Amino acid sequence: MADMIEIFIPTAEPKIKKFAVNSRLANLDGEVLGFLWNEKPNGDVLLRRLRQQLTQKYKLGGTTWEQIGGLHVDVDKAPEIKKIAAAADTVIIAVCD
Amino acid sequence: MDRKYLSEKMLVEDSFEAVNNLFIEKGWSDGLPVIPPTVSAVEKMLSGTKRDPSEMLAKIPPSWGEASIEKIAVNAVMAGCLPEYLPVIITTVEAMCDEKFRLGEIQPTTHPVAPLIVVNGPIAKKLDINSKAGAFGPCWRANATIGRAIRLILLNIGGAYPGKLDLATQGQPCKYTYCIAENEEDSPWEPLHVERGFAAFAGTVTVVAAENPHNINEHVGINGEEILTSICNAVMNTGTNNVLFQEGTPVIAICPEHAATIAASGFSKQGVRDYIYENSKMPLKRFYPRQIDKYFPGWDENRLVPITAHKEDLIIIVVGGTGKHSSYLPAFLPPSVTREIKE
Repeated sequence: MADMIEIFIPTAEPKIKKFAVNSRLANLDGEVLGFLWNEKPNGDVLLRRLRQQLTQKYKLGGTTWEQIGGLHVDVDKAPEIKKIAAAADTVIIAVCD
Repeated sequence: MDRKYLSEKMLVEDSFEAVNNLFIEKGWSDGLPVIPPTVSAVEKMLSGTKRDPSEMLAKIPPSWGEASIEKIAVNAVMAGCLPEYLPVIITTVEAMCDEKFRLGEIQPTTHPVAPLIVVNGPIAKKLDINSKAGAFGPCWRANATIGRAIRLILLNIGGAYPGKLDLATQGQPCKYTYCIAENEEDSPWEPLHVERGFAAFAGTVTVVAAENPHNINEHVGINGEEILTSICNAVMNTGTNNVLFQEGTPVIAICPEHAATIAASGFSKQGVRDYIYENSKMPLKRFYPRQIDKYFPGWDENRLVPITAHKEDLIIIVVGGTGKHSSYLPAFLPPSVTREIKE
């Protein structure tokens, strides 16, 4: 049998905060949709087109828009996140590059 | 050693080939052979710092692995570092994880960006970090392995594996290693760390989210204005992030011969910065209409486009040996960060 050596594993387990996913909305009629853009080029194009199509398809209760660059930072603490969470029933996020 | 280890360990066949095959298979390597991170090798590496191996420095995006001193030492062993390099590596990790540096955007972007490490102060000479001939190239252990350790940390702790969480379209060779010292000895100007408020005797690391060096060949100019004209012409590139997004801290790495000629014409370092910034502005008509709509909406057609938003964002350093080749390193987007090296 070959001799063995002990080595360290060089990777680190990601520490990801676990959270429960909200139940999906059965229908978007009457709901306020939030659109959150990370300020990368063309993410806004995608979100605006999506907003247009969803507005045509459903009788939305309204839409709201927020944008925040650098979504890697502590997003939970960003005022834009709190604002859109308070204003919208559900939020669509586009993280583009 | 009775220390409680944070990192998991595993048994592997005691051969260089077996360890390296395992690391390639697991995706724990940059593709080059690594030094096996055995307990004794990691303990020896940790002798390079007084800091507690269990200290958590930061979480590294995009996978947010926790970078302990011990885990950094493991990757430094793999890279082939000497223990005395460890404080530079630790400081680089701290600088990269400064929120201002926006590592969470640097790691996964499609842009070909790598953190450039610029070491200043007497520590550069003490560790034999090359600042002179071929500083951006091979053959200096400190340059090669400090930069490589940082890449391994970004891969193994940050999870930025190409094509997975590192989405760089083409990448760039500086993603293997990208560490230099400023050639303070042959510079006619104050070094970068002194410009940033540190004492000349302090050892510092500056991290810049940079592209690879783009050569500026200038063998003809005999005065500062002529050489600076060549530099201005070379940096007027409409395809850089700094121009398109009007953000970021591009680097102009001036070789000592160019620096001497420019300084002899009476230019201070700030004078060089002023000259390059003002004389490299481009007419808006160099961009086509869709680009103008996207990147410069509402700009007057006569307004000139600078190479980045603010003059002070231009980093000027002196690097290299004999010869007349300087270089331009366009940057990604975030500002650079400088930190003092502590043991």
